[in-house]
Amino acid sequence: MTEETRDQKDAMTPATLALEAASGRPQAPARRQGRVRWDLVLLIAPLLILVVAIFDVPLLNTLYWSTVDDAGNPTTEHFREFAESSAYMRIIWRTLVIALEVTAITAVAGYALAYWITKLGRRLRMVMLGLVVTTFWVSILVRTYAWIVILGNAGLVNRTLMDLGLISKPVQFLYNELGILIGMVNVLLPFLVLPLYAAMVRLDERLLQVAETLGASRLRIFWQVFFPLTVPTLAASCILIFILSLGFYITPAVLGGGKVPLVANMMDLLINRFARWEIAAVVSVVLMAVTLSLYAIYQWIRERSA
Amino acid sequence: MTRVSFSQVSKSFGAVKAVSDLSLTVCSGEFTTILGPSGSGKTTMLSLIAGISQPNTGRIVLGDRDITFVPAAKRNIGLVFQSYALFPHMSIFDNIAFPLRVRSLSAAEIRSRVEDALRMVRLSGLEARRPHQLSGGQQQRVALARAVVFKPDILLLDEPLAALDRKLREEVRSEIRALQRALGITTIMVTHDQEEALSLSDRVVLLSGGRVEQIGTPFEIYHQPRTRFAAGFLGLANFIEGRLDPAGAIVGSEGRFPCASAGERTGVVCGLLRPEDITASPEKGFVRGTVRDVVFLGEIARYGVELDTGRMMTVHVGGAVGRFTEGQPVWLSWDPERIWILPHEGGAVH
Ligand SMILES: Nc1ncnc2c1ncn2[C@@H]1O[C@H](COP(=O)(O)OP(=O)(O)O)[C@@H](O)[C@H]1O
Ligand SMILES: [Mg+2]
Repeated sequence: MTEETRDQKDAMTPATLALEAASGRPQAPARRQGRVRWDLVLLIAPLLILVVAIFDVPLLNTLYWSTVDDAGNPTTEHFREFAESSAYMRIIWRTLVIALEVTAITAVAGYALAYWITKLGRRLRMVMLGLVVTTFWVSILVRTYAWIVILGNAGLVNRTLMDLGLISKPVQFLYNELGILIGMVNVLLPFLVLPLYAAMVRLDERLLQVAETLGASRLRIFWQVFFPLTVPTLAASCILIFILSLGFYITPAVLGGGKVPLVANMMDLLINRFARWEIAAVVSVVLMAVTLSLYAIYQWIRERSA
Repeated sequence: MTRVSFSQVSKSFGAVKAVSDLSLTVCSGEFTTILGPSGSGKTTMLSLIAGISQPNTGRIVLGDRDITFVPAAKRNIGLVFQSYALFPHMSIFDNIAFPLRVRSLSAAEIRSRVEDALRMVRLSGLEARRPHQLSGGQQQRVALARAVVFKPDILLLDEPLAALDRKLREEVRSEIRALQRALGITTIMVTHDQEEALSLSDRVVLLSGGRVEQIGTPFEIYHQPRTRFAAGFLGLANFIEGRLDPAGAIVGSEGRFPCASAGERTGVVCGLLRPEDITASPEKGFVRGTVRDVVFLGEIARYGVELDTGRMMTVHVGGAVGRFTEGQPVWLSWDPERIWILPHEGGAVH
C-alpha cells in the first residue's frame, strides 16, 4: 500500500470503508502516478532541515578541514602527510579488525542469548530481558572499570580460577586486545540481543509447526526456516554494531591500558595533544569512506540475494 | 488405507477445555468437515491429529498406528493452515520441494514431483517466484501442493478458504474437492462456514464447545439435525414447540402446525421447519399471518411473517412468484412431512 492510499483510508470512517468493501468497489481508486504531494513535503521539511543541520553540516565541515590549509586555500597536503606515515593506516586497519572481531563475537553470543531467552518461561524471560536492558542504564565508564575488578590479576575470575587450582598464575585478561574485546562486546550486546529477540518472537510460529509436519528435524527447521528468517535482523544489527565499534574510546583506553590505540584514541591525541585538526579530519574522512564502501558492499550483496 | 480415530480425547489450555472427551472416526478416503463456531476447538483437533500438540487424555489412532505421542515429523500428515504458512524466504519450488528434500529424494525425483504438484494446482511456471509475489488464492494452492506432494496419509485443512474473497473461494473450493477425489486422500477440513461444509464433504462433524454435536452426511445434518444447535447452525430454522397431537400436528400457544406422525414420540416436542419448505399464499393454508419484513436476496426473497398468535416465522420464496409486501396478510402452508421432530429436544422419549 502506498502512502497516498493509506492517507486516504485514514480519512474514511469505518462505515464508509465497510460500504466500499460491501459494494465490491476497490478501496483505493487509482490515482495519477508521480504527482508530488507538496503538502506532505512541507510537513517533513522542518525535520529534513534539522537532520541536515545536525548530521550533514558537521560532516561537510570535516571534509572541508581536511582539504584546506591554514589560509583557507585548497590543498592535498594533509592527505599526503596521512599517506606518508604508515601509523595512521595501521591504526585504522587495526580498528577495523577489532570492530570485525567484536561484531563476530557479539553476533554469535548475542544470537545464542536471544534464542535462549525466547525459550524461557514468561517470568524468567522478563527477568532476562530486564537484565539486558539494565546495562543501558549503567554508565559505560562504570561498567568498564567494573571489568578491572572482575578480570584484573587479583580480580574475581583470576582468584577463583587460582583457588580452584585450575591455573597457577593469573591469566592476562586486561591491557591487551582480549580486554578490549570483552569490554566492547559487553557494551554492544544489548544492541543485538534486543532487536533479535523481537524478531524471534515475531516470527510466525506456524512456519515452524508446518515444517515439522512436513517431516523436518528440529535441526533442519532451525537452519532452514528459523535462522534464515532472522538473518535480516541479524545483519542489520551487525552493521550497527560494527559502525558503533569503530568509535569506541573509553573501553580501549581503560581496558587496553593505552597499549592498543584505536582510531578514537588516536583522534584524542591528534586533537587534544597535538592540535592537528586537519589530520584528524583526514583520518575521519578516510574512515568514513572505508565504512561507507563496506556498507555499499553489504547492500549490494543483500539486493543480489533478495 | 487410512482412517483416523479419536477415543475420549481431551485437551485443555489452563482452565479452558478446548476439546473434551471427544470420540470419533474419520473413514478412509473420505472428505470430512469439522464444522463449528469459532472457539469450538476445531483448530485444536487438527493440531492434535497433526502432532503440533498432545492431548491431555485419550488416544489418537491413524490406520492401525497409535500416534498419540508420535512427533509431528514422523506422522506423515499434510497440513494447510488458514494463513498458508509458506516459507517466505524460499521460492515456490523450494517450498514444495521442502518435504521431499527432508525425505532425501534424488534431485531428479524432486524436480518431477514438484512439477507434477504444480501442474495439479495449475501453477506451472511460477516455480521461481517468492510467496509474496503470488495472490492469496495462488499461495493457498501452493500450500496445498506442498501438503500433498510427499503423499501423506491424511490431508488436514484449517479454514483453507476463509482468507479468500467470495469468488475465489468457490474456485479454490472446487479445486480442493477435485484434488481430494483425484488423490483419494483422507481429508479433514475445518471450517466455520456451513455452505463450505455442506458443499464439500462426505461427512460433517458438527462441533460445539469442544464436543461433538452431531456426525452425519451433509443431508442428515441439514434435514435431520438432532439438536436445536445443529438445526440453527446450518441454515435458518423455524422451531415449533408444543404438544404432539396424535392426529398429526404440533399444538401449542403459537398455533396448530400439521406434521406427519413422529414415530414413538409423544408429549412436548420441538419441530424444525426450514424457511424454504414453507409456501406463502393469499389462499387459505395452515396458519395465517401478516408480512412484517421483506428481504430480497436475489434468487429468493426472505419474508418475516407474524402469525396471528404473535409468533414470527421466516419464509423463503423463490423466483418472481408470490411477491408480497409489508403489511399484507398471507397464509402459510407446508408438506406436513417436512416438519422434522428434533430427537434430542422437547419432552421425554417414550
Ligand atoms: N494455545 C492456546 N492457549 C490457550 N488457549 C487456547 C490455545 N489454543 C486454543 N485455545 C482455546 O481453546 C478453545 C478452542 O480453540 P480453537 O481450537 O482454536 O477453536 P476454533 O479453531 O474452533 O476457533 C478456545 O477457547 C481458545 O481460546
Ligand atoms: Mg481455528
